[in-house]
Amino acid sequence: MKAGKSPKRARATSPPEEVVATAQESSQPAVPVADVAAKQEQVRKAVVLLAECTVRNAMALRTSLLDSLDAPGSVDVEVGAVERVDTACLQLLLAFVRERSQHGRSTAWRGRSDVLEQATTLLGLGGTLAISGAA
Amino acid sequence: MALDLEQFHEAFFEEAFEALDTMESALLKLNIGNPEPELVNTIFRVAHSIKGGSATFGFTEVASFTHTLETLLDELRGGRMQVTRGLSDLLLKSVDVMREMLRSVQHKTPIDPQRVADLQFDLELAILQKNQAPAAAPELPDVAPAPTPDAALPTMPATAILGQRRWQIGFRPYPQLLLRGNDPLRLLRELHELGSLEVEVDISGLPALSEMNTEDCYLAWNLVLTSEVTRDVIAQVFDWAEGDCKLEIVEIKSGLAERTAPPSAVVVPIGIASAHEAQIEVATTATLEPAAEQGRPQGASPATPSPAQGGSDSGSIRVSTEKIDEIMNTVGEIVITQSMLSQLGSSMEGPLAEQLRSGLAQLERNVRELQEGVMRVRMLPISFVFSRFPRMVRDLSHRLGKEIELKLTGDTTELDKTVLEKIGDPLVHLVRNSIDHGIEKPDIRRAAGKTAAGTVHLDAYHKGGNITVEVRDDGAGLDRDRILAKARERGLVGATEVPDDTAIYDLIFAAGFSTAEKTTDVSGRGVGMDVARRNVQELGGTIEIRTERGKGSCFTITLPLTLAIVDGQSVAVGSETYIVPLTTIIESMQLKPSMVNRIAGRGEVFLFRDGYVPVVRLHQVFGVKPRTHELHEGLLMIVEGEGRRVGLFVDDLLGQQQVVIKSLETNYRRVEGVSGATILGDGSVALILDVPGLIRFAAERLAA
Repeated sequence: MKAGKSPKRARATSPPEEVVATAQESSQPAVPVADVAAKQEQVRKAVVLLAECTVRNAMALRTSLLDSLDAPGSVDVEVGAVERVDTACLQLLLAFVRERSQHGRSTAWRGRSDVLEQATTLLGLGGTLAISGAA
Repeated sequence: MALDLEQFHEAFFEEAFEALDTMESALLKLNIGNPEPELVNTIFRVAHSIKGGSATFGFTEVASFTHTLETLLDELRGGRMQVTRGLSDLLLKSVDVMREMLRSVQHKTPIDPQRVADLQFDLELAILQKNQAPAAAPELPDVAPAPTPDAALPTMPATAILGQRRWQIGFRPYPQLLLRGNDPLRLLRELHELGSLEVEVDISGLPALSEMNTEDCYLAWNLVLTSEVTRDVIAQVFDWAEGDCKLEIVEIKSGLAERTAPPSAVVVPIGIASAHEAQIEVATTATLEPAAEQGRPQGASPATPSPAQGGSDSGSIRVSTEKIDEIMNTVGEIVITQSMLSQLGSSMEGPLAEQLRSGLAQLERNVRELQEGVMRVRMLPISFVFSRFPRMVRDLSHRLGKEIELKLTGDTTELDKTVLEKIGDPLVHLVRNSIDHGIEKPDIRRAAGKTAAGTVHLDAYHKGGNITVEVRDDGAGLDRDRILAKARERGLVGATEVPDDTAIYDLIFAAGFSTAEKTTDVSGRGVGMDVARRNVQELGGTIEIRTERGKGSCFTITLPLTLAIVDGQSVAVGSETYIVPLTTIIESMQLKPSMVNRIAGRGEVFLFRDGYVPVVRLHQVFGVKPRTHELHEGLLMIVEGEGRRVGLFVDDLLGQQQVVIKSLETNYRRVEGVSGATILGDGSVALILDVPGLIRFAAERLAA
């Protein structure tokens, strides 16, 4: 499964006008995070982070993360689109990863975001948020 | 804890408006394409402070807008966006909108939501458009962004070099930190910019995901910063987190265990109440290590704020003008009492009289110094007014398609706050006039052998007891013939009359006078210049014009340094004393009866230098019984105002003195011909003459 096929992911890189629309919509819980494989039990779950991964959208992120929290096997977190991130969202991700690992479940980053990497390093979360064993 | 934040509102607004001015001037200095990091930082800091403040005080609209602005500025700061002309215009517009929003909040009037939303949209669009530039991150095979934990960030050398200090910073946000618009990420990034930063995060406070409130901060940090900076600089990073976090800043001395806060370290949670006191002064207390090693005298109190602390910005304090006015008033009273005593002392006789007089002379000197000292407190540099011009000139030249360079000199020249507040508008009119009518379009300038870009030069300097402000341009200069033709057309000048150049140029100050072929929204309606002159005159000043066709014009405004004190000549009329401002006096003379001509029904005139000057008998104006009615028995004081002269007929000249002006309007009511009153040494009240008013009065009578 590739999270990049998610329609939300595609929108995040569409022309500016649409992106703005996305950013505005994104305050609604359902938008920023796509539970791509919700209906397919055998497929790994994925959480997609949108460009604006900040306190504005934190509520929605929390909902999605909670949704995937107990998913068996590994959960992918698609980070490629992240353009902005703040502490509010990072601590949600942190709690998510920590809880999953406490229950012996793994979480994997998919894609790459320099912004996110810099932010985790700056906040000293590089170690704690390091996720290994991505599929 | 319910803290009444309202008491801090005014201070916030005042600081926010000042900060916006700073932001605006920084924006104007910003190089397109190659912005100076320092300026971008300044601009960012302003946005950040205003956001933090607005969030703290619950001004959500302002906070939300500023948040977007701050995001954009952060992109600029990180070099992820370029400064373009369009972007700089957008930022300037944002300054305007923020100013309007703050003003609306301050005066509790509604904010125009559409305007704000439009601009916010533009800002968001700008942010996103830049985000399109680098193609979306390629789909990389599983990457675990797992840099070495707690490592000093790679861009900064971790080695401590000479002069570098190591600071241990304990930063424990309270839950509401995020809600107040402060992001630890940003704070840490700012610290990182100061030097090499080692980060250790404490996640022990992090609850289960399901129990988390997304707007609360659960993390805490122990940081070690290696940098040359002082504690104040570090504390400044946390300025807006005051009250929303617990902060310890401790210097780590070599050989000491790192990261272990010494038990003696003073930890001051930053709270609003203690904001201006010893905020975060901590640290190197005597128990930590011997005082000698700290490079600090033994016994120096660790709780003493370092000199830069508190006043870390400018070493100044904010005092309300009311308080200064009160002091000013009291000093005025002391001056009066002192002159009363001096008068008494001068009539004393006896062995102690000499001693008394020398004491009184000493008192007089001291009082004068005190008075000057208080006056200086009220003085502000004229840069407060000048600072609005770069923006104005930029906008206007844009609109008019002209290239204009603005030169500001003498902007540290100080003048009284009251004068300063009133000089702004006249200067705006003059500068506008120079840009619109003075400076030519680039092609015309080139054809005339000039540089394409015109120059408008604002200069301020002290001259005598006055301040002079010049608005010079190298434009076309005034067109004498056109002004004269226009004046004849409007009947301001008779068809055969040929006034001298000064009189012709003066016509541009006539109400409704304009030679502009078409009225623009900039100028040309013929209002403005007359208002400018009236404002200046109300301040007791004058405007002079020098101009040369094709080379440019210079408008010179001369103003008194202050409106609180005037150098006056006291004159006697009957039993009354009047004060004539020294700046208006040209000459005093005794008339011979032969010099006076009577004009039937219109009073008297006399020949003075090259023209006839009307006589104003002060006793008639004020209804006082004079010592004499004969002109040759009294004195004639020739005074000038608004470019016209009259001779004031008085009984006698008494002496010159500085007098403190008391407003007659405030204490009584407005009286024609009088600009104020003062109290003399003997306790009696003397009226201060409004010379321009008296001249108008004389002119009306002559015209009648």
